[in-house]
Amino acid sequence: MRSRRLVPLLGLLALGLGAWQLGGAAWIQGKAWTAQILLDRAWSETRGGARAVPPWPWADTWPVARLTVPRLGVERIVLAGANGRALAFGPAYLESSAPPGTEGNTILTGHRDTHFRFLADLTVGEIIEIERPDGLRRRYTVRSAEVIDARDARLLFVGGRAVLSLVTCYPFDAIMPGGPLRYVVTATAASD
Amino acid sequence: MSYRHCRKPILVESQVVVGFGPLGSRRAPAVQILLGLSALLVLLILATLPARGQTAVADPAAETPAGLFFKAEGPDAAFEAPLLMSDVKMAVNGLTARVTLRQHFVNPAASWMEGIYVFPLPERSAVDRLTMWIGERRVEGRILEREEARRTYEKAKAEGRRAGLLAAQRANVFVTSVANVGPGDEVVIEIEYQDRVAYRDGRFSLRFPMVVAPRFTPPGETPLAAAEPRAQPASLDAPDRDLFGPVEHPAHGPRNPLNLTVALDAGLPLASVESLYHEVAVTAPDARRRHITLAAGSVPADRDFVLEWTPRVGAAPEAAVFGEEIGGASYLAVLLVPPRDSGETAPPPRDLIFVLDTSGSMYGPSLEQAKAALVMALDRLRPEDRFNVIRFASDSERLFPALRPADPRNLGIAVRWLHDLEAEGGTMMRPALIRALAEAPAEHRLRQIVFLTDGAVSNEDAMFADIAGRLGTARLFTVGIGSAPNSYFMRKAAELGRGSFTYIGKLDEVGTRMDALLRRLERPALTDLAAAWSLPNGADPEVYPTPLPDLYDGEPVVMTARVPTALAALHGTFAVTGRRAGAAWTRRLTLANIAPAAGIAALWARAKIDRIEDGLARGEDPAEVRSAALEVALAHRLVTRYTSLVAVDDAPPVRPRDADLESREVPRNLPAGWDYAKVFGPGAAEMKLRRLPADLMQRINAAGEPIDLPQTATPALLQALIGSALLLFGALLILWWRRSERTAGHA
Repeated sequence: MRSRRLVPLLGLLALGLGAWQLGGAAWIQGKAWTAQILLDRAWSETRGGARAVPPWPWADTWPVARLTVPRLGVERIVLAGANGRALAFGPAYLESSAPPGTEGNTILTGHRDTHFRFLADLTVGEIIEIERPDGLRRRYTVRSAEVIDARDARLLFVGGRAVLSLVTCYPFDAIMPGGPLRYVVTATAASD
Repeated sequence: MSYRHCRKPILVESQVVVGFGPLGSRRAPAVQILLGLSALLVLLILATLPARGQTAVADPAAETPAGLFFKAEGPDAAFEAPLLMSDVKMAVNGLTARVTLRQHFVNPAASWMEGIYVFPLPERSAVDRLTMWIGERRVEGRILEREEARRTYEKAKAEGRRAGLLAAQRANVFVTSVANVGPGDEVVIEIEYQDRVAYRDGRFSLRFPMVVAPRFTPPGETPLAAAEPRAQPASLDAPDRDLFGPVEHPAHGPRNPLNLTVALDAGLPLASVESLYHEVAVTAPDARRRHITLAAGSVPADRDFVLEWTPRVGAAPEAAVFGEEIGGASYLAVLLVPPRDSGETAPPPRDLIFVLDTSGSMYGPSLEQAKAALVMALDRLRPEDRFNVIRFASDSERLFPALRPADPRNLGIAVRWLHDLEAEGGTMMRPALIRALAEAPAEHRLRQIVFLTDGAVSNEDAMFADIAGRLGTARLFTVGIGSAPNSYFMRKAAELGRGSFTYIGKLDEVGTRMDALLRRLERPALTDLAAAWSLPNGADPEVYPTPLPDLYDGEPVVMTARVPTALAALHGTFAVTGRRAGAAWTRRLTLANIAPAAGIAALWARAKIDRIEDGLARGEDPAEVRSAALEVALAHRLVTRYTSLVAVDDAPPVRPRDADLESREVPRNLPAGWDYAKVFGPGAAEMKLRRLPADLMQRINAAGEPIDLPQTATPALLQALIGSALLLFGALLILWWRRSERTAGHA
């Protein structure tokens, strides 16, 4: 009979743990999308001429570009510094690559289950726009998409052409985070 | 794809949930069931997650990649196949065509290379010439027994000499190997063959296939006349090749550009010339000649080229005899157009069995064409006809358990059933074919089997034997679907099935093509055809095909004959007789002023070999078939399954002794309209690395900086799943506890 007493406790514990886990999931998604709203404002200020505008007082990252995919209605504010903290709020620019919207290869990474989920829907010929802080816009055309092993990645600067590489984790629907696979969409700047 | 990566976590989840189950096992089975159900629910949620991002995509115009590269593990994985460009020149003269195909192999790598390319030629082509060009120098090929030719080639290859080998994998699939192509060098392999122009329903046509579609090999069944045994070249990952070799993923762009020109001399004034699947530019020097070039200059080799032309009204041929003299013997080609049936006599009631290919290779436009064709055929059935439909992919399925009358209700069921069919899975064609042939025919009814497929199988010989052995009184008609159908299967299956074949390459052809086919099915055939010759000295010509096949509506009598008399001395007559709907038909022709035409001897020899090889399907001794075919093939220098052409450069060896030779297969394109994932499976191409030019690869390895790509996945989904499962489990536990408390209170 004493063990019977434990059953409701166990039930409540399971409920509590469940709520906590679900809350965690909601927090990740909520943070990702509300941050983009706040970032939008910071981006307007950045474009207004102020440089490195933190979206909220204690932020250690700032918007560096705006990425849009007109066909999909996708709009993302890209953040500086591809680290876990920045990635929680938006796609991030890998600082060892060329600055967004300039010649050379720009690499942007984003979470496969939030900001860069749309990579799965990109097709060849798709137009991607990058807006720089100085207001200049550059149009890129998607050339290819492939799945690669991140451990084999090498960066080589082949000057002259503006190339955009959008990188996210793969597969898109894996439950466990982590793993070496990456989905890479490569786009080249329209020659205008 | 998502399944593969989900599987492990699913098991973990279900253990968490089900593991607590025994708590309630004694008193409340209902709760236990609920707990089980909740586990099932979680599994279901996981299983229904949408699969995304499966298709790798790419742009044909993609240039050399820049910036971010991915180094392969081993030194061999990133490699380059030889570049291949083809140049086709077709000269059509009346009923024959002489085609020259030049394959330019270019070695873009820094190492010595052997290039291997698998490509199609028309299924009735008589391939009789191979020339290897090294710059301006030419090396003529010799015909040898297949194994001897391979040894000759391998020896030259090992010695470092340039050599070329042309072998047949099927009547319509050939493979070129070219050895010792130096770094940056180009070697040209020139192939020539004789083909015949088809004439049917008042139209002439000539087909040039450009790509061998990926073939399905049924598990456990070895394709007869298997692929050439050869050292396995360093190649792509195993999944994206069939028995003939690698197939390029569309993401890497189309390859193997092909240029084509046709010099057409129809021999009669022309009304129209049409290229069915390629844009062409046509110039007309006079009423009976046309010069045709591809409007695009060159095209990727990914679909058949088909040219059709019609004579002006009143100029349509009724009978024609062409001749060629070789070694004192005359070779004749005869075309004879019987009068068409009026179509007034109603055909006897028929039993039609439609067999539809719904395998993965039919995915997309091909299945749409096949469905449209089938619906049109169903529409033409009469109430006294009976029908059934069998579809096959990895398995086969019958619409009705037995033949049903073609009444509106049954037809409605059939159309709705067809509408929902999707293309997926393997091509287990043989069981479906056997099923269709197995049904016992009814008395006084015509049994017709209509087979709609792209023929992307490799066990053709086994099926030909099935058809020859089980046909009985049934007749088999094939409908070749898609941009690169297996024409050898279509023609031979129809020949052995004593029916006829047709092709549908795009949706807007369905109407005209099916109409012609259905007329063939509905109108009485011209049967018991025979030719009686009266020649000087009582000479008896050797005629192929033998016996003459039954003819359906719109089809002419076509035969080739060898007469042991010089062409100039040849005179006499011959008569062709046959029966249609009980009535006799005779046509007598006089042999005089025979129009000379080159290449007829080759066509005759090819038809003779065809006849000999049919013995394989009829169960004759393979060794006897081989020696009979070998004799003809060697005498006429034809490439067959028993003979190959080989060219070896006599110049001193070119490859230095210390330089290795790398063997590389040229990947084939996927036929236009095909879906890669449906053929090779969704995961096939995902892990394939982009192949880079060797020099770029070196630069990347030397100067490329390793780059750290951050983790870009959150545990949100994992947390959500664990959270939901825990909530459900907690709620059920409390529910169960409250219920058992109440029961305890009452007691």
